[in-house]
Amino acid sequence: MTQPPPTLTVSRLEALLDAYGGDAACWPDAERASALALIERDPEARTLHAAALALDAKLALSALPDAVSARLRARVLEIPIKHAAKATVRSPRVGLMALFALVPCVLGFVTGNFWLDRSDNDEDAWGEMSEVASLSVAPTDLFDEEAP
Amino acid sequence: MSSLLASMTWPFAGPSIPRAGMAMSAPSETSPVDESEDDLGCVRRVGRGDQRAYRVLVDRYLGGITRFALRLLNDQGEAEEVAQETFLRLWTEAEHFEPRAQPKTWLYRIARNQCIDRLRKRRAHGQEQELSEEDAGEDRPSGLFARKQAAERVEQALAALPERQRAALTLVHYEGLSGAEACEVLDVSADALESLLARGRRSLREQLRELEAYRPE
Repeated sequence: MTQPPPTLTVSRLEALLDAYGGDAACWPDAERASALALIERDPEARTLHAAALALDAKLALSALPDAVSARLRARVLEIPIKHAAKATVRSPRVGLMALFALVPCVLGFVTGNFWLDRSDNDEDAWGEMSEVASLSVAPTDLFDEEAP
Repeated sequence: MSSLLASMTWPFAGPSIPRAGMAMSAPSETSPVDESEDDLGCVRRVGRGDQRAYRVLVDRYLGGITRFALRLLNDQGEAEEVAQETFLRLWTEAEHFEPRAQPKTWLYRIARNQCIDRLRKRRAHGQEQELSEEDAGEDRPSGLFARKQAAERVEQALAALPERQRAALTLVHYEGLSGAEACEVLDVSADALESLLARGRRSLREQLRELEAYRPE
């Protein structure tokens, strides 16, 4: 046994017709059956429904053609060909790959400079040490009056 | 260190490999696409660079997207630009599509956002389009011409509606989207959609009263 549809007020039907028009297919599923039942039994509801269908007919006058221009379709279908490489380049994954490649380069540059500085300092230190050493082993005459 | 490396996203891994390969070769057009395949399946294929799946979606939605944009912008050239941009976004962003939304409503939403941007720019530049009144005041027409004139009146009445009401009416009445789909495109609740539609239709009814005398043949 089928359940009778829940009752719907005329004002609610009016709101439905105002929003969705007279085509029952556009009405919310939950209210369709009760709205149709109300239209069937209530003359006021039938008048409102007829008015909604009349407005639908007027709106249908300005329905735009379904067909799309061949030119537009061709342009849209060209998009994958034109933008394949561009789409890939813009991918964030590619940016990440570039970052992965860049990091070793930067690290190499920085560490290289650091060790270069260190080796320069070492050379200076060796120079000073050898100078001191040469002074320390040089023969000196403490009684030489001409000595500085 | 090893756990850090493991937690990082390795750029060569993941589903983007076929797409990355597209930079060196033409986009894939080899995989067969069932014309009845659902939108989500098609979008996933497009995300992998499948040109045939892209074509299926173009055939399904290019007309609707273009008409929707035309209703909002009242400019054929701009509507076609919006349609192209929408399908460009489909091609470039399908890879990252989140199936929380339906592909159909995602496309309409992209188009709507572009239309809103263009309408804002127009307002900023004081270029709000004036509707043509060139046919008004001519001799009382009949037949096809009367129908054409009536259609123009309806278009004028539609164009005079606020953007959100116009978008709601276009989606539900002209493009046949369900209430739930229209809610997704417009990012509004079911009650808000109903209110937009009702206000739009009431406003149209007022504007179209002058058409009462005309009965389409």
